Amino acid sequence: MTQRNNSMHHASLSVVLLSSAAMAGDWVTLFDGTSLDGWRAAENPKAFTVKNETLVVNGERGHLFWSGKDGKDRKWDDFEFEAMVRTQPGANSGVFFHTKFQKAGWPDVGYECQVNATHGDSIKTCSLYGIVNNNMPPHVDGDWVKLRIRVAGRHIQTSIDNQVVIDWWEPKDRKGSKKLSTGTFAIQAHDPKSVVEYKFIKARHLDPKDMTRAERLDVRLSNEDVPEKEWWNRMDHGPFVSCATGYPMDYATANKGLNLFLDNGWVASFDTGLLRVGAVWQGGLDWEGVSYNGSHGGHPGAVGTPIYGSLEGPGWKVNGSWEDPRPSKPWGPLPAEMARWGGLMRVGEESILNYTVGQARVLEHHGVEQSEAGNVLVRTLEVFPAATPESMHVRVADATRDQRIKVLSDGRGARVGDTRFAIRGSDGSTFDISGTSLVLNLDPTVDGPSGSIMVAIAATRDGIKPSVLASAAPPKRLFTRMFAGSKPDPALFPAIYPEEIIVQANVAENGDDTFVVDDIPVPFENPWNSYMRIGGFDFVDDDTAAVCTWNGDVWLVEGLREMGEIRWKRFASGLFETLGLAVRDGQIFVHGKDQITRLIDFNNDGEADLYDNFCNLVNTTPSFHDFAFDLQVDGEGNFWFGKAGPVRGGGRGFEDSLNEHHGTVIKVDKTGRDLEVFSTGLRAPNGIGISPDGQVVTAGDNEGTWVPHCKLHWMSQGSFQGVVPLAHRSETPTDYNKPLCWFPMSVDNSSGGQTWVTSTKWPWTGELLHLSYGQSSIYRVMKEEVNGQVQGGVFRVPVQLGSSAMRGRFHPTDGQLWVCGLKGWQTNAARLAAFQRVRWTGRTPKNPTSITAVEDGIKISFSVKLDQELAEDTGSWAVNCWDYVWGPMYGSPEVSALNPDVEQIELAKKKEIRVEEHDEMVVESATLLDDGKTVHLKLKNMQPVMQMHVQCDLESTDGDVIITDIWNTIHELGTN
Amino acid sequence: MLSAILLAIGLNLGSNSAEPKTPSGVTVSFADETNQRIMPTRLFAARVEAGESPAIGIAPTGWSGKFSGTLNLPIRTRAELALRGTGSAVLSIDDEVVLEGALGTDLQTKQLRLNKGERSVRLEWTPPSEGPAWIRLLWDGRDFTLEPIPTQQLTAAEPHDNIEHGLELIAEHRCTACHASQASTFISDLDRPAGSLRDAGQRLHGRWVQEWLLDPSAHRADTAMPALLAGPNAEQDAADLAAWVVSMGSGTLQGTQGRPEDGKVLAAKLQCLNCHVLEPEDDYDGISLAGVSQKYQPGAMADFLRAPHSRSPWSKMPDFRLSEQEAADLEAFLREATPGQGAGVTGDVVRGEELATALRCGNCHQSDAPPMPSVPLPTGTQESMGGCLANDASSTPDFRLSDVEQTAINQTFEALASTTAPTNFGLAARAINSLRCTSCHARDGQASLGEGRTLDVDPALLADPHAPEVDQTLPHLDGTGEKLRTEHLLKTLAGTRTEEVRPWMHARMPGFGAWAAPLTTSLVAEHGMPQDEAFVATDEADAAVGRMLVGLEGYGCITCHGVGDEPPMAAFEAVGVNFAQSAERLRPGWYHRWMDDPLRITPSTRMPRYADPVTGKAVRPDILGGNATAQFDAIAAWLANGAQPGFADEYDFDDEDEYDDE
Repeated sequence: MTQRNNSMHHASLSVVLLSSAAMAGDWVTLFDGTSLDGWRAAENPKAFTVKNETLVVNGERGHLFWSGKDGKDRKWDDFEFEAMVRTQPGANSGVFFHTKFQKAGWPDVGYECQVNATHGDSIKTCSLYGIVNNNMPPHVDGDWVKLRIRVAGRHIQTSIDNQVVIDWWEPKDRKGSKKLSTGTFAIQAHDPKSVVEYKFIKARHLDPKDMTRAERLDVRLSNEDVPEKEWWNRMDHGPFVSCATGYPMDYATANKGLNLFLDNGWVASFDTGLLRVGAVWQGGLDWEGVSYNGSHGGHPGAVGTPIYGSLEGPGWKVNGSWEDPRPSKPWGPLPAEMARWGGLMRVGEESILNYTVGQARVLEHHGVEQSEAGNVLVRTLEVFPAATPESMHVRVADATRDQRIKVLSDGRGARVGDTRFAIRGSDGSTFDISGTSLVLNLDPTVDGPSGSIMVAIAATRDGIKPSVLASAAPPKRLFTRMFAGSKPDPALFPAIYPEEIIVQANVAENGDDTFVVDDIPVPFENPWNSYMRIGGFDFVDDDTAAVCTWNGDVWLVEGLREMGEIRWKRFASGLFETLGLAVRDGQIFVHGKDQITRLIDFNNDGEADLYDNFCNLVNTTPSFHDFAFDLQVDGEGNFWFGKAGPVRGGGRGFEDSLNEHHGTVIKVDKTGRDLEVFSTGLRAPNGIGISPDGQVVTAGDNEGTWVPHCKLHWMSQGSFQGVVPLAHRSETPTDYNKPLCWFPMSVDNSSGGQTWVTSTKWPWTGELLHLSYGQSSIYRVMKEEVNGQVQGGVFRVPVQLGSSAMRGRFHPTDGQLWVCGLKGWQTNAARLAAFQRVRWTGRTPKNPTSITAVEDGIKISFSVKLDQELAEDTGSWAVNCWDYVWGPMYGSPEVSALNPDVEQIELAKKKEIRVEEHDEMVVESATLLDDGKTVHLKLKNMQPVMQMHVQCDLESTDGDVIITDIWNTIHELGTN
Repeated sequence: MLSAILLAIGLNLGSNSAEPKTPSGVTVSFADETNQRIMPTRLFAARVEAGESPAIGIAPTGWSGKFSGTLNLPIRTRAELALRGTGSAVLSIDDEVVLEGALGTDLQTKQLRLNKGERSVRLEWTPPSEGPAWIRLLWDGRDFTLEPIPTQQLTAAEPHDNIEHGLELIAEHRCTACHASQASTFISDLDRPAGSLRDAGQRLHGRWVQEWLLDPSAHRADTAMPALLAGPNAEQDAADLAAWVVSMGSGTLQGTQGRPEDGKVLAAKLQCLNCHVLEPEDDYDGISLAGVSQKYQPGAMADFLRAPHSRSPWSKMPDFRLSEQEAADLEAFLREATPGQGAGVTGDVVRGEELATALRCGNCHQSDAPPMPSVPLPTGTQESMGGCLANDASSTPDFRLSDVEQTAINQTFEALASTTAPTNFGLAARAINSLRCTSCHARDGQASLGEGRTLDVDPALLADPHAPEVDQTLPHLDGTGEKLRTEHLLKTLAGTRTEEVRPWMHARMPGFGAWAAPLTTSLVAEHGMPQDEAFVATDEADAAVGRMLVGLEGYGCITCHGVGDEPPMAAFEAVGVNFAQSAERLRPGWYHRWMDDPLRITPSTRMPRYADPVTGKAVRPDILGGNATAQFDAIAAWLANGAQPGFADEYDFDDEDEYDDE
């Protein structure tokens, strides 16, 4: 209920309130100074008398229970209670709440808010008697003070003269009868020596709007009995959520939906791709989809009562036509020169959308008015005309199959089906009908002081006539809700997630290890039940990281410099399955399925105020597998990310809804205004890497159709990486850009990102690391280039991570590798998420440093000098090899590389077959070269192989055992 | 002396087998005071129940065993070797004794550095004087936990005798139907009555019977049915015999109308082509179905497919538990896919019956012809191969046996003569060969023979619209005897399991009739396992912790595994077996081995690894001190307590079983 509306209808509402206290928000007078009507005394009624408009409490034990003038006002759950109270020396009293009438004795049910400044009992005023005690009297005898009790969800506050004394959340598992439930109030007479006076006693029910965000969530949970693990229903998603959204009726699904949660359970869903209101309904979202309830089929959809909505097509007449002008129809955004989504300004709990249509800038707001006559949705538009405003037309709503459209003769009212519309403000603007659409023709007359057109569209299904609908006050300017002069006004963006969660970093002891893992505990328990699956991160500065979660949050993590107390702060929410985040010039960019969003905090309160559309040129489909992976910035400030190909529900084969962005690595120009596909033919590139010089682009992939096994892509402009349905070229490719190396399942069954070692405080400076999501492992990459072909292999870095290995970055000053990961699909990840530092302890790692393929075998170098006898013993070495089959089948068998069975290979292209044929590559000799670190293995039948597995069992000259596996790929043989 | 004979006639050296890729495992030599047998086997393991013999021809008491094989190490390997079992044993590697003593639970070497290449391994075993005898050799390496040395890494170091092969031939050709053997009491698969002919008249076409009798091997190369008719009267004899055959039983079978296109899809799902070919001849070593339309009267194919063991409990055609409609669909498909049709025969039924009696048809087939008395075997063995074994095309019955086969049969009859106790140890190998288990299942690193064989069916038709397109790989058989509990294994092989273990699979594990019970026993014996082992919740293991580990706060196992009537929460690409069945299905030792490193057991599995194979540390360090074994024990305790569902309520996912389409 907006304030304006509240005052408008106050006169009529107050009449209603007298008989129905269930109506939220208005104060109920419990004691008006004249009588004890509505109160019922127990045990000793004589203790309660009315004198001089004051309730005097004095006498033997007794309690005065409120039951209302009709005897039925005994159900108070979330409330605020206020009374003026004065104690005399040595007096004891109290106010019970959530209690019930009891003939005698101290009330068994509910809490007592104690009243006692100088009585002998050490439990003083504002205590929740016997449960949360205060021993310091917050007032003195003889003074009138205001006692306030507030209960919202499990949150209880008591205060004197607006100073909170007790601020307590009742534990969920509290037993017995002294706990929160629903009940009435009682005032206590304690003993004959106690004299306490009360006046102006009143209470009001709390509406969710009157509560803090955490309380509101708590109320919802305690009321709806939502299972604890149904986290998507327990989570406070924030004032809005971006997702592909399905609508009721025939309204067209929004691929880039932005769902605004309004008062009273209303949802206004805006399609940021087409700049249309997709649908408005009263209800909520069903939280279907891979990132919510895990469904591989769907995406969130509307549940509840539809009010209105629109079919496919632009929400504004662009380019003089209602035709959909998108070259990427039906996936991408409208062409920017015609109309461009700007972003969202979060003004406290509310959102103001901004975008351009032609040369005009539009601000848009959705709100709900509640009145006794019904509920009204008000869509307010503020248009800053710049060029030809007379041509501006808004598609308000569409009629679906059975609905009729009617526009009233004055053009200011309309009806679509059962929903009535009225225009407020902008006297010359009128409704019109175009095909199935109800259209608003904007009057170009400027009526705002800074040259804007102000208009609102009111809509209702509650039967309110258009004339009444239209009769409210004219729409208020949106601009002034955000701006002071030409700049955003810091004061106008209040924080809605003020709580910080403080954890202690766990810094590991070095022990004997080369690397140890320091852990930043993730706040899985937080006031918003935000589901903390961390899908990307970057450093804002040397003390602060920003992390994004799969469910669309961004959090700031502060305190990294000292690694002691770490503060987690919810910075943003409601983004679209964000699995990549990067910081450029101190600004946070986060990559969701709909767009790259730049998050700006105007007032430095630790919350993003502007959710700026940096680039939404990417095509978005409703497929669950339309993943938006990673976000990296190159040296020039351009952005890079991976885009998955939509596979079918079972994972085998691709959906039909493919477009040119699927299965690609994409580069976004530093301005955000241009997007280009860099490389195609990937299946699920969950994680990419950009070399420090910006010249090398890498990506992982995930076994599946046309991806025989996981591999590490080393890509070039325009390269095709192997997935034929995602090649996006006119001719079907018959070959693909060869990966740096392939991985067996046990090494990597689902790849994460790559990280270049940019630090000099870590070993292996300048080298590449590959992360495995599925095996929660970090691998050091060894690469070489032979005849222009990059090839190489990996070995495992011996650390155990707290979750999967999704993204890695080196800290700007501590120089250590930071890693985040989540558990969202198949992985052996230990926990839902982790954010950790892989710290080098300074010990020289004893590992291979390079592997090179030569004509007669391989040369492997190590970081330390080797014991010659063991190094040259062929028994210290084992080399095996095999090939994979590239084809349309899911994954690949492991087939003989040395004796390929052509028939079998052809068969594997037609049917999934499971064979594992590994050939031994006989080690004919092992020679330690002069550097003492490199061994030349002569291999019988040396030849290029897709997968080689080298095992060694060696010792350094210092006697350290070196047992290592290397998994590598050989495309080309170098010279000996 | 038998052993002398064996050595004299030359032995079949395992490592020289025709297919070099076939893992040959090891050999085990069992000997009593007079006889010696050298058998091929897969592992350094065996189990012999009290009162049983380890092998045919060996006495049930006073025997000893000696395993020998070559362990092929790709690289210098650091491992501990361990022996478990009863009796005592001496283990030597490269002729050096590394372990010696009474078998118990603690006979284990220190870490040995075993050099790369071929290591000779010998295990001499003296079983206990009473009670069951069993032994297992295990090893525990740097990156794997205690396990039997995989067959893939073993090759036989010495030749084995031909008795197992001979036994298979004798059983296949039903020699003991005419030449009764006391050993039939002791060897379960020796006597296998052929199909009953009592209702042949309503099942078979006379013309086909006639042609079949004239030359069975022309219709089916691997048939055990001998050619019985030769000479100028053969045509007429065959006609009369056929007339007699189809005179038994009359009327027609009331069949369901089949739908050939559905039958084809079903044949693809059931992978019929793993064992069969549709053409008369094919490169693939499959049983041809080319003649079935000419052989069977309408409805008879479906009738047979519905209950293949009803006329012959030892039929190698397994029972897929087909519904009436499914069987009819398959028949309809087969009638379309194979040429020709049946015809009647004209012949003298009375003469046919006389011939049948003379030819001893009743000894193998239940029919109106009476079984004839047993015929003693001629003595003197190989010098006098007359009778059935004569290599003379004009004499009958002609079993068309090669010289090697004939020799094996002769030697085996010798061994059978001295068999005085039940023996099960070698039966699994014979049965798996006979039943073509490896046509569908991979084993010992070898892909299934039928891998990739497929009917040309639109994949969309194969996909169950209610089931996600998940991995259809059938489980391999490497560790069957070690993995499955006896009762479950028996039900699986008998086809009497009520719960589908992998309901998402198109394929269906069929039943194997009379084979099931002895094969179960023998698989257990092959792996040297106790008769049964149950999950027992140990005192330390907390089932509640196990449940937590299984749930989303733990490893999220329920994402892929169902629990009772609750389906997996979000299985994708691969589905796991329902936990409600785990305790009833699995032996606890194998469960732990699987949990430690599933990828070591099945390299292509989608099951993630939750313990570091090198350190043994669990992925979750915060639970039970990060001790993987303790964590897996806790899950085992939860499984042992019945693996109750309830996650669906807790996590509120859709509990409608999307795989249960019935």
